[in-house]
Amino acid sequence: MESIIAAKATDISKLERTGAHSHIRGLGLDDKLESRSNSQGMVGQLKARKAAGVIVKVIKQGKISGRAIMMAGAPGTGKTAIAMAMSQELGDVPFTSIAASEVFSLEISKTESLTQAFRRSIGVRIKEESEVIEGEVVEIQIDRSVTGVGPKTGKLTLKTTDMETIYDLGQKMITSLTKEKVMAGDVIQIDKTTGRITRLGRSFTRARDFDATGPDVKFVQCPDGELQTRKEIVHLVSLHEIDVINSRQQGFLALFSGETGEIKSEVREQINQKISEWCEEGKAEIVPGVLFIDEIHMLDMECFSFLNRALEDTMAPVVIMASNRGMSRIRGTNYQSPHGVPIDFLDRLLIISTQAYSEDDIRQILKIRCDEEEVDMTEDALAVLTKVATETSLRYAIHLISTGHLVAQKRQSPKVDVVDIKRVYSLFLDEARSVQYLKDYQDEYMYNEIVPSQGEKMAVDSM
Amino acid sequence: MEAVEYQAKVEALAEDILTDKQLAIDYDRKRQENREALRGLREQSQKTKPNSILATTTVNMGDFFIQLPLPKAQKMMEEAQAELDKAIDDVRQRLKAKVKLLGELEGDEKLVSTAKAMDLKSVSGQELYGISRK
Repeated sequence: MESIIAAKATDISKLERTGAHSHIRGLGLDDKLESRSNSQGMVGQLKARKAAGVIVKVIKQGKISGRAIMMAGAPGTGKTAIAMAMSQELGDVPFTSIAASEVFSLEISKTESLTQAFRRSIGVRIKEESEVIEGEVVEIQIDRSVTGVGPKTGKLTLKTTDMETIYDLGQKMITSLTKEKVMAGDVIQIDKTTGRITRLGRSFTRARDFDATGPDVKFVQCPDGELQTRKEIVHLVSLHEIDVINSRQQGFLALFSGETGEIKSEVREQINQKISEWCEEGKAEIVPGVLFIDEIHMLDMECFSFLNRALEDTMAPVVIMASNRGMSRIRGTNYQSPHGVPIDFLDRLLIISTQAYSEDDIRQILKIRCDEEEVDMTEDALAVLTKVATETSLRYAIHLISTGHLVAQKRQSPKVDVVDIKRVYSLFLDEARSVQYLKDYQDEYMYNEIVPSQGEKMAVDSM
Repeated sequence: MEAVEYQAKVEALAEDILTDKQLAIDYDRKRQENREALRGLREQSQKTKPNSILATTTVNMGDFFIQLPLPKAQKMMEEAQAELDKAIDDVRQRLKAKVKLLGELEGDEKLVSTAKAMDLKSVSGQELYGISRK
């Protein structure tokens, strides 16, 4: 199957670092979209996960676009985690994740930032096709004319496991071959349209030719099948990438450097038109994706009006937002509004709310994080940590896992025990204790303005 | 019984696909041999004077050999090449359809989505990079 349809998926290797949500593999739903209580790294929060599962299913069917979903809940209730899980479940669909504050930048305006984020979440599938000759070099023979002047001529013998043939070489091909330093035993690929030669490696059968080879010599198998095949590669690019490529000369360099600048709307119009033409002709396929905006309350009124309009566009992705504010002021105004978002905007959203975790949920989450961070913990220590998490916050307890592990290592113990948890609990303050400490020692902090006590002296230096 | 029928269908289709692949390889082998022959003919016609006795070649037509003047032999080879190219294209088209069918029968989603993506017409680099240029 390989030589006709190369269904190769090149995996970009993940960094071996654990992040706050690296333990999440999916939403953990069964076939009937019911959430399992502890599955694929997700624990508890059953209703929200089920709602997210329904949305993922509808997105995969391609039936909604330009819809907006809001995840609202107290801090530390799994909003970002569910968004990460959704991105894992969606797989191929383009998933862009931004924080609302990223929209504010000195170089580009807010609307441009938002438009770029939108266009980054819409994918276009295109196919690239080329005739290639791929084979193992048996022999290269280059003749120079006797007089020394005049063009060189040459013959190249290529083979695969099924056939072997001789090619006559022209001047250009001879120059390319000598430049690439192609030798007998190399496996090469020649693009018929551009004439470019790529060395894929050396053949295994010729591995014993030399006793010592350089460090970056790759050994590959002799290719099988036809010598001359048509290679078809399918790419999934985003509309934003196409914008950037076409925005100026050498536009593709801006893709790597990141300084795209403002892209003119005429360019975007042309691109929209061209892509729709291609869709009609069967040359391209639009893959609408998902845009996740975290901390949506950081956007101001202008951004919200812009979003209102942008969501009604024909080529709009599904937008998922997260907010942990209750009744609060909309940024840029003095109006109070639920979740820090204008009411007319709220009207267009599907809202999923997340609840606080139960103690059992917290215990299971902490266990999963311990496994993810490769920390061994005793049952007692885990119970203490769960207690800490219920009284303070889940994130604080998760921080204590790695730090407790280090303290346990110092005391030469492979497992983290209660004494280690107690130590790090005293070393690192959580939010409530920090505020209490602040209140107790407020005089000694710089620029302290909370109820100056009698004396009114502000200490110049502290800490 | 249905399961057996289904299995038989899948196996037959798979066999079909493998045969077609082999066919493409055989066609390509013939194509390369033809190409070498054409090259030999071209060199020979450059070396000899036209209308001389030497400007002929013997062509193997399966059971027997025919002696033909060079230009005629060249024309025959070129036609054969064009036919081979077309045949290879046809085989590839059929293969794509069969692989898609196999994916659907086996319920292999990845295969089906890849096969569907292959149905797109190709876009060249110039087209992609030159949208705003127009």
